This record gives sequence, C-alpha cells and structure tokens, in this order.
Amino acid sequence: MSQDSVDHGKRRLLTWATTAVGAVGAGFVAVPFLGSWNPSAKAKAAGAPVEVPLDKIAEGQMIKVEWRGKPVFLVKRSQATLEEIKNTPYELKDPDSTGQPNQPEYVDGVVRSIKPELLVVVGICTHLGCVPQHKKVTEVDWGGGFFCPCHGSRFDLSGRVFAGVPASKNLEVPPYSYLSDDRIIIGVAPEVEEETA
Amino acid sequence: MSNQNKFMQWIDDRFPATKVWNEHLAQYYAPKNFNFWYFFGSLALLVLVNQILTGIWLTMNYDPTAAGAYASVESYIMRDVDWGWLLRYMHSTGASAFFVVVYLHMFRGLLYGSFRKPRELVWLFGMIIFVLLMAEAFMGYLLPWGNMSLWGAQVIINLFSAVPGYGEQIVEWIRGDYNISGATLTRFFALHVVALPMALLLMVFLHIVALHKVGSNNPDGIDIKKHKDENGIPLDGIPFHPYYTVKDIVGVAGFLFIFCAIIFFAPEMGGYFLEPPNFTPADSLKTPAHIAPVWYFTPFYSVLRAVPDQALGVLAMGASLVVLFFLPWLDRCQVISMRYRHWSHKLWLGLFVIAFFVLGYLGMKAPTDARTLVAQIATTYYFAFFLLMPWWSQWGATKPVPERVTD
Amino acid sequence: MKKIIFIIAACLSLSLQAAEEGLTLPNDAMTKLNGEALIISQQRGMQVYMNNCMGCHALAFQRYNRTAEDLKIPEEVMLKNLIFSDGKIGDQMTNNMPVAKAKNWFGAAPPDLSVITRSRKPQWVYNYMRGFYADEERPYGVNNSVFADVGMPHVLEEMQGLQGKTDKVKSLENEIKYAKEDKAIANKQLKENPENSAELNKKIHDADKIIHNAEAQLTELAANGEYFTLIKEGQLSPEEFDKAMMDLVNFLDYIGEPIKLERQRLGLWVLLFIALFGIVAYMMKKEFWKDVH
Repeated sequence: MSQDSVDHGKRRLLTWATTAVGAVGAGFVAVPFLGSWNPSAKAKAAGAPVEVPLDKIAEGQMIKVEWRGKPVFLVKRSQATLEEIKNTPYELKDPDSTGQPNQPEYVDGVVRSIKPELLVVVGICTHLGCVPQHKKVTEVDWGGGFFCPCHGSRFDLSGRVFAGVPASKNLEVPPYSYLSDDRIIIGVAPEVEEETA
Repeated sequence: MSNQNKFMQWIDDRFPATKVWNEHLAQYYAPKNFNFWYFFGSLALLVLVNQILTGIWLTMNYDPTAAGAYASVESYIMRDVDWGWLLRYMHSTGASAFFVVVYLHMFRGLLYGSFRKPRELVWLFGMIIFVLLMAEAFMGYLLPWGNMSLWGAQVIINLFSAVPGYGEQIVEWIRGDYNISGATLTRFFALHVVALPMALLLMVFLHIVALHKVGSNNPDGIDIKKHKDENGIPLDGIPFHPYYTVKDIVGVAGFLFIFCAIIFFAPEMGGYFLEPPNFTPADSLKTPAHIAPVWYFTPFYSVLRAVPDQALGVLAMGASLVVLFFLPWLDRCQVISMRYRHWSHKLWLGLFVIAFFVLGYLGMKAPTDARTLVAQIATTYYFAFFLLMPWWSQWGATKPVPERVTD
Repeated sequence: MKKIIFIIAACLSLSLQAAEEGLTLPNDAMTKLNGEALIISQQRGMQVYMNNCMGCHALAFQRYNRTAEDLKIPEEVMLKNLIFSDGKIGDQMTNNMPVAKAKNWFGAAPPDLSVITRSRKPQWVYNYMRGFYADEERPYGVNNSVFADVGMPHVLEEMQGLQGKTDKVKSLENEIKYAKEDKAIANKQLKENPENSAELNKKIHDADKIIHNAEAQLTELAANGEYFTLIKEGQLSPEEFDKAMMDLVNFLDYIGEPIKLERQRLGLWVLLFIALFGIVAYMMKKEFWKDVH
C-alpha cells in the first residue's frame, strides 16, 4: 500500500458527495414509511363530513352526533341564555376566545356559533380529553354548560372555560356550515362568498 | 485531549465501542482480492434490514384473521394506505431477492471453499440461517391468504403426514384445525413476524462473529495470515473499513438498481414473485389448476416429486438440505479454491449448478413422464455430487497454489 | 430511456403460466392505449361496467372517490350517473348481491372482480367477454370458448347479439375430439400389450399430428375473425362491441392496480437517482482503492 500520493482533498470531497446523495436517498426511503402513517382512505371515508337535521332539537336541549369518531354537541340556546353569555356574571379565563382561539375564523369569540341560537362544539374537554356532561340551566347553580367528570373542569353554554378549573382552553368549535335553515354539515366550512357577505 | 476524544474515552471506559469498531471494521483485515462474488454477504444484510423494516410497517395495517387477511392486503394496504403498495412490493420482492442473494452467496462458498477448515462453523451457522429463511418465507407466503398461499401451505404441511404412524396427528397439530384455517394463519403470523426473525438475527450475529474470529477466505483460498508485516498486519490484507465499505456501497447501488427496477416495473415478475392464483382469495374447496411453490423452493420440491413414494420423497427432500450441512467434511481436496483444482472438479461443480437450475425449472412445471425422468437424473446427480465428493475431490492433480494472493 | 425500461420490464414479465394453459380461442390482443386516450377508454369502460356488471360483480377493494380522481371523473358526475346504490363518494364499490341466493342461481356466487386482471391477464378477460356463443346444451343456452362451461349467462347479449361457432370450427373441433379419443385408446392399449408398440405409436403420432394441424387451423381462423358468426344482431356492430370490451378491460385493469401508472412514473426517477448514487459511489471507491492497486 502506498500512502504517498493520496489526494486527501479529492477523497474528502467524494466521501462527502456520496454521504450527501446517500442521505438524500435515505430521506426518499423514509417517505413511504412516514407517509403510511397518514389517515388512510378508509379513515378519511369514515371521517367524512356529517349532515345533521336540526328540526328535532328543542330549546335548551342538546343532541350528540359523531364526527371523525369524536362527539359533537349541538345545543339550542334561548334568548335569555344568549343574553347571559354576552354579559356573563361568571369569571371566565378567555371570555372572548382570543387568548387561545379554538374556533374557525367565521365564528365569533363570544357567542361562538354561526347562528347565535345553535351552539356546535366538539365534546372533548380541553384539559385531558374526557367527554364533558351537558348541564342544563335549570340543573346547576352556575348557569348551565358543560361539566367534565374527570377533573372537574366547567364550561359555559358557549363552551368557554371557567376560571379556577384545570382546563385552560375553551371547547373547540368544529368547521361546519348551513346547508339550509334546518340542516348543517359538520366538517365543511361555509363557502367563501358566504363568509364575506 | 479534545472534547470528542474525551467523550469517546468516557464511552470506551463503559462500553467497548472503539474496540468493536476496530476489531470488526477499521482493523479487521480482509484479503485484498475479493471479487464480484463477495458482494452478496453485505447485500444479504441489506435485504434483511429491508424485510424487517417493511415487515414491521406491513404488520401495522395487516389483519391476521381468515376473514380479513386477504382484503387487508389487496384492499387496505394496496389501496387505502398511503404508500402501502410500495411497502408491500418492497417486502414481496425482497423475499425473492433474499433467496437470489443467499443462493449466490452460498455458491461463492462452494466455488472458493469458504466452508473449509477453519470456517466450518461459519458454514454451519449459514446453513441454519438458510433453513430458517426457508421457514420464514414459507410462513410469510401464507399471510396474504390468497388461494396459492392456502394450497402451497396445504402441500408443504402435508409433507409431515409422511411421518409413519403419527403423520395425520402431526399435521392436525401444525394446522390447529382439520384444514388450513384462521388458527393456522395466526400461528404462522406470530412465528413469521416475531419468533423466526429473532432467531434469524441471532444466527446472523453468530455467523459474523464466527467469520471475524477466523477471518474471510478469498478467491485464491489461501491464508493471508501466513505473511504479516512487522506490526503483525497481513501483507495481503486491507482494513474492511474504508476499503470494503466503499466497495460494498457500489455493490449496494447496483443491487438497488435491479431491485427497484423490479419493484416499480415488474412487481409480479411475470408470475414468479407474485403468482396469479394468489389474486383470488383462499378457497379450501378449490385448488388452483396449476400449483407450484414459489421459485426459490422449486429445486427441493423437484427432489420431492422425483421420488415415486410419499415417505421416501419427503426423506429425499430433507436429505437434500441436510447433506449441505456436511459439506465441510465431504470435501477432501488439499486445495480449497476451485481456481487451483483439477478440471474435473470444475466440471463436477458446473454440472451441479446445471442440475440445480434444472431441478428449479422442473419444480415450476407440471410433471410429465419425461420431466420426471429428467428430475430423477438431476436428483441423482445432486446427491452424487455430495456423497461422492470425498472421492472425486481427491482425484486429479491440483495446480500450484501461490504463496500470496493474486491480482 | 423510458422506452428501454419498458422493454426491460416487458422481458422480465414474460409470463410463465401462459405456456401451461391449453389453447383457448379467440386469443386476440388488445390495442394498447396511453395517456389521455387510455383514461377516456377507462371512463367508457366504467360506464359499461356500472350498467351491466356491477349488479352481480362488486369491486369492493376500490373506492368511488379514488376512481373518480384517477379517471378524472368529477365527483358530482360520478355520484349522479355512476353510483346506483345510495352510496357515498368515499365508499367501497360494493353491491347488494345476496351471496347465498346467487350461489343457487349461478352455481357459484359471482366473484368480486377487483383484481381479476391480476389473477387472469387482461387479454384473457378481453377474449372471455367476446367468447360467449350459442350452445343448446347449457342451461342459459350459451357457453364460452375461453372459459368452458362457465356458470355466467351472456349478460351483454343485447349489446353483442348472439354468435355461434362457424361450421368450419365445429368440424375442426370434432376432428380434435376424435383424434384425442383415438389417442387415449391407443395409449391404453399400449399399456396393456406393449409388444404391439410400433403400430400403436404410429397411431398416437398420427393423432397428435391431426390435433396439431386442426389447432393451427383454428388459431388461424380465430386470428382472421372467422371463429364465430353472428346468429342474431345486437345493438352494436362487432367492431363497436370489441371496442367496448377493450374499454371494459382497460377499466378493470385500472381497478386491478390503481397505482400502476404512478408506480412506473415514479420508478423512472428512482432508477435515475440510484444511477447517480452509483456513479458517485463508484468514483469514491476508485479513489480509495488507489491505495491498494
């Protein structure tokens, strides 16, 4: 073996070149492995938007529908409730949902719905993911809303979290839109024209 | 001492990282005259990694039940899962590639006498790997739950019915049912994805440990440790790293080119890698019109069919594998590499390769009288090659073996 | 470059099963289509399939939305014109075939055809669809020259009309039948009294020759389109029907492996990249091995 005429510069360059091309190749190989963890066509089909007729919900009542395997709560609120939501007597962490917004842009931060009387929220506590219980205005002394049995978090009828409970964020409002006056679709945002109008 | 050195020192005080690196790569001296045939060891390792990775990913989406297996492959993995088709083709093509690479690796051993003293254990560990690999491939072949999966497994499991007296009981025990069913599928699945891969990894580890203890053979079949320089380094040896790492990378590129050409342009490989009858679901009431094992089993399958008796056929097939284990003690030639042997030895080996191919080809074809006769001749030769080796390997004059490696 | 790789791929996929299966006629090849023309053919094929086949043969491994996307059919069009069940766009392409009853009707439940072009070759399916002919001995009055005694009725009779084997074909087939019988008898006699072998071997040889000649003639007739003759006209001319069947098979071929075109497109880049890697790695190897040589 002769070591005298070794061109170290060339050797280093070629080693780097091979390493670089090899690393890019390894990156390409990683694509199918990582990509296969995305939701499959089956999961996407099962998570397709859900249509909900509204004619069966009475004022003050809640119905629960499943969307992408998650419970979505629909509550019809009375004018009195809406008034109380707008001028709430309770101490809330984020009363206008601006601290940590958890709703689509086309939904306002206080009433948190497209049409004021119908609240649509994902029924999963923002603390550690339990499903809260719906408490009617008449059932409790804190104005009604949602109570999480796991760690005692409370949310008002606009899905806003109370002060002094473990959860920090308001309940999530999913994307939804109105197909007609008494039919909504959960999972599809309103068309852009409607939004600007 | 630089920070890097300090860090390595800290590690080395607790774990022999540098020692292992040096002993097995940077100061592992391999003969400098490796040729084309020496690519296939590292390629086998590459395919093993491919099979393990794609295999793990396939289990994430595979359903090991009789009701769900077929659809989970053909519908869910091949269509619904992003990139699932590629992972599946990598795994199915990898299975065949594994055998291609291993057969070439074993042929290299025959050609240059790599199984001879002191490398007997290297060969034996390698043979165990080969048998485990066959078991692994056979069980994996059942998992897609196509009709060829079912009937291939049916035929192979029924080999055990040749055991006198207890045959039927053993077969039922293996299947866990009166025919091949979900019970068979789940146990094969467990063995295929957990037990056999672990055994394979262990044997691969032992194969390499044994090799590095005695050092690699070379095309000249001479011991490079006979001539060392003043530092005790073999004069004809070069450190595995960087010389053979950079060389093996070129081999990897060449292999990947062919491998990917098959995956992307001919994943079925004309029915050799993915067989047409396996695109119909398993049906225990209907055998495919033409049933043959996957190509890598066909030489041994031919031996089975060549014998016109069930028990003896099974015995012959078993013997065709077992005889390979005794190779280190059958070869009595004083020269280990074919390069310096009498022409008659080369003829014996050449005919053996032909017989192996002929058996492999016939194993894919439906038997006719003429084909059976040819298979019998090839089978006879297959055994003659090994059993007569103690005599023919001592026959004829050898050429002078050089002191130092050539080229 | 693309062409070369396709040629390599074609050589690699030389089918091993083809030679093993006996002679089935007709065995016409399909016209190969690419790009836009292929997609249009597949769209038409889907229409044929959904109108005539879907009732019995599901494509349950495939989803409507994937098909819509790959075949460039707008989802609304698909929902309105091609999905006859109350299915959603993300659903698998299933039907409401009652399996147990179907077994009674046809002897076997109509199989799902999601991967039919992979278990049978597309050309086989093409010729099978064109192989129905009148045969009074079968329960539905039709048989199939590619899949003998198949349980399926001639569903596309309205489109194709009804064809029968020509007299020439019938007489050649009789020749083959008798020659095969002669051969079987001779073989049996040969086993019983081997001393008579010269004469019997000649008989077998002659029978083989007759079979071979007749088969060659049949193959030629089929290649010239003189295998069948139309007994009853259908809505389509024979040429139009063949084209419709090509569309149908192109569609099924897509369903068999929806990723196929994408796979080949991607494969080209993969191979180019590996070639680049190989070149760089080879240069590195050469540089290091200067020490050794």
